[in-house]
Amino acid sequence: MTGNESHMRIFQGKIGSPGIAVGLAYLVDRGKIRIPMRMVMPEMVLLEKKRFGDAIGLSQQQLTSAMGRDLSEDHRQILEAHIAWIEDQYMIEEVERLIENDHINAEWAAKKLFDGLKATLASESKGTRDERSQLFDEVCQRIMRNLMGIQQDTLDAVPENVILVAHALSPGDMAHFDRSRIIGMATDIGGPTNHASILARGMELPGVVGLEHIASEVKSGDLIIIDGLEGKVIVKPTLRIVDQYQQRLALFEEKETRLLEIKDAPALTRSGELIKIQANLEFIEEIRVMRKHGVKDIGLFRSEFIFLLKGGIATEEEQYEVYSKLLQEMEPDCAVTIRTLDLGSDKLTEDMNAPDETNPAMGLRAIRFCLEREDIFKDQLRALLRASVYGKLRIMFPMISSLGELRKAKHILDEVRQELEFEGIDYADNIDVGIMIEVPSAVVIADVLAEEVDFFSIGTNDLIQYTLAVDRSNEHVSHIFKSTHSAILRLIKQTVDAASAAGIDVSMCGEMAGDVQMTMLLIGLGVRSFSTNPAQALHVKQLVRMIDASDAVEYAQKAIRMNVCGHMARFIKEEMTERFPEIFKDFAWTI
Amino acid sequence: MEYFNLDSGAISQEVVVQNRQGLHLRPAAKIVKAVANMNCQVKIRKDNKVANAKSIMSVTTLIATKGTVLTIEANGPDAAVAVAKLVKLFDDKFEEN
Repeated sequence: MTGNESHMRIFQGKIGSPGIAVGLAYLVDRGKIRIPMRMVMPEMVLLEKKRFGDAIGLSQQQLTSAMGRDLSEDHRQILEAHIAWIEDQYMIEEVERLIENDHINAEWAAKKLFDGLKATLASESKGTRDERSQLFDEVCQRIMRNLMGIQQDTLDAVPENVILVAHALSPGDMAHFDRSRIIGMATDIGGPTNHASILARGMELPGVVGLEHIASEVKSGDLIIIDGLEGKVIVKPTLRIVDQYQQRLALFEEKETRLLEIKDAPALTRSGELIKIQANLEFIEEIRVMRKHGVKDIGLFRSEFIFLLKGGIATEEEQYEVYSKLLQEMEPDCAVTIRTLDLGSDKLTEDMNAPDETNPAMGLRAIRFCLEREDIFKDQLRALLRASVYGKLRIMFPMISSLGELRKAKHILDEVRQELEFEGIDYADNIDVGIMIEVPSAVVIADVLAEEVDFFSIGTNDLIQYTLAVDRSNEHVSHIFKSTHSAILRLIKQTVDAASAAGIDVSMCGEMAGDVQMTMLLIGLGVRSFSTNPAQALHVKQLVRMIDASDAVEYAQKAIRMNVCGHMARFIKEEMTERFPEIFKDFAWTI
Repeated sequence: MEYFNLDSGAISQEVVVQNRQGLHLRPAAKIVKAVANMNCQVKIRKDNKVANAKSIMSVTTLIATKGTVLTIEANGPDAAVAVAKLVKLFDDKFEEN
């Protein structure tokens, strides 16, 4: 026991993709091949050429067999580019020429060629980071490995049930992924918004990124645990820890399986009210996960992630690509609600000339920033309108705090409509325009705002932060951030009432919407539409199907009178455990 | 790179790179795929640099960004079809999406 214990190590990183995996590590040892370079005698030239030809043939086989799998369009295109390289006669002839003229071995010749290509690229593309040079590396490494008889670890031929550990995983690597063989991933670099993380979430592959030096600390075959719920990796865990995680995993999977049974069932309460459940998305790749969980509409698409991914201002074209693809992916009549740029000055990149703000949450962000930077706002609105012909688009403005702001934003939208008309560019004429309700002042004048929009969406995270004046990331006050404050529930009720009086749609898209501890209370307050993370959708649906609406109203009336958060929390816990023990017995309460 | 005569049977046409990424990884692969099995030589000329359209290495290292004017030249029995195919690819912006 002690022997084992002394070897266990825990690495803290960032959550790349949620989930748990326990298994053996498979080290993807990139960029660490030592390339043998030697001169060859003239009589050996023919042999070197043959070795090279064989390596090309082998590479071709590997790539073609990878093509046979069910791949996404993006992955397929990357693979096709690899194949085009491997089959390029001119590349092959050039390497052969180098072998012959320079009297060098095949590895050296290939290296020389690819180094030269990279240098050309670097000098002409003026130092900008380039997808192409990454491809050169990958193609060259494949050839090298095949030349040197090293088993390919380009993920075509990994053993089953392994956890990939790498310094970094490129989109090219991800393209070779055989998802069915891999149960998790861990990388040194990267954050939640890098490409590998996004693809991992799309594949529901548990992953932890940003671990800094996991690749040099782990060997293939080491037992490791990926805790993609807490963003950590445990290397050589003790039996006790393995046991714990295996239980958690089994529980997790069992729950998932049970939940998936109601994937296609309607979200009807026991008393017959239809509740709408939509998804919050950040990346187009998450559509697959959304579908898997039986969700058809996108209640919140966070458009700022296009900017964050790019690390700067996304152009109209770049945005149009994403929006039109999103809309095209939807089933007929299923809506996509896209929230316009909700970046705070804290997240602005250099090229947006971020002002220095001491209190960014209350500073120049979201709609305020957009009204200030009309050029950026108009590009986004143009992209949205142009994409609107492909489906049912709804546009949502974030952080509206006054009627004037709303009118200004709508006015700019009208201007953009006119511009497009003038240019003869089509857009849908039935686009609903709505706002986030997340600033207390918007709740107070919700009746006024409701007259001028098609829908409300309640953003609980900011609503709580602004109402209770609590920064959740400030550890000194984060304990005051409570969804069970009666002020919050009253504001929600007020918003719902104002919307229904005006006959407009109201939904909730904040974290509270996916929190089953609050679901019955919210239904009791009149919320009929929830937008949650795809993974939470079925949890909410499961509970919705057990709730009786009139019981919920009575329960909510009692709860809302609990003016001490602690009392309300206790009340919720007791009532929920009594009513729905199958869900709330041994529940990890967070209220 | 060898040059070839633009005699009878040879065709050339100017195109502008219109897609956002320029002749990047995927567009280059599409060009090669389009003409790989055609019975003709196909070259893409940028100023005094000439790329062989059947070689991805050659096309990729041409470095043509958005807005670049290129000349497509083809010679051989399939020349007309090859040029038409490539012109269409450029015009469709390589179906970037």
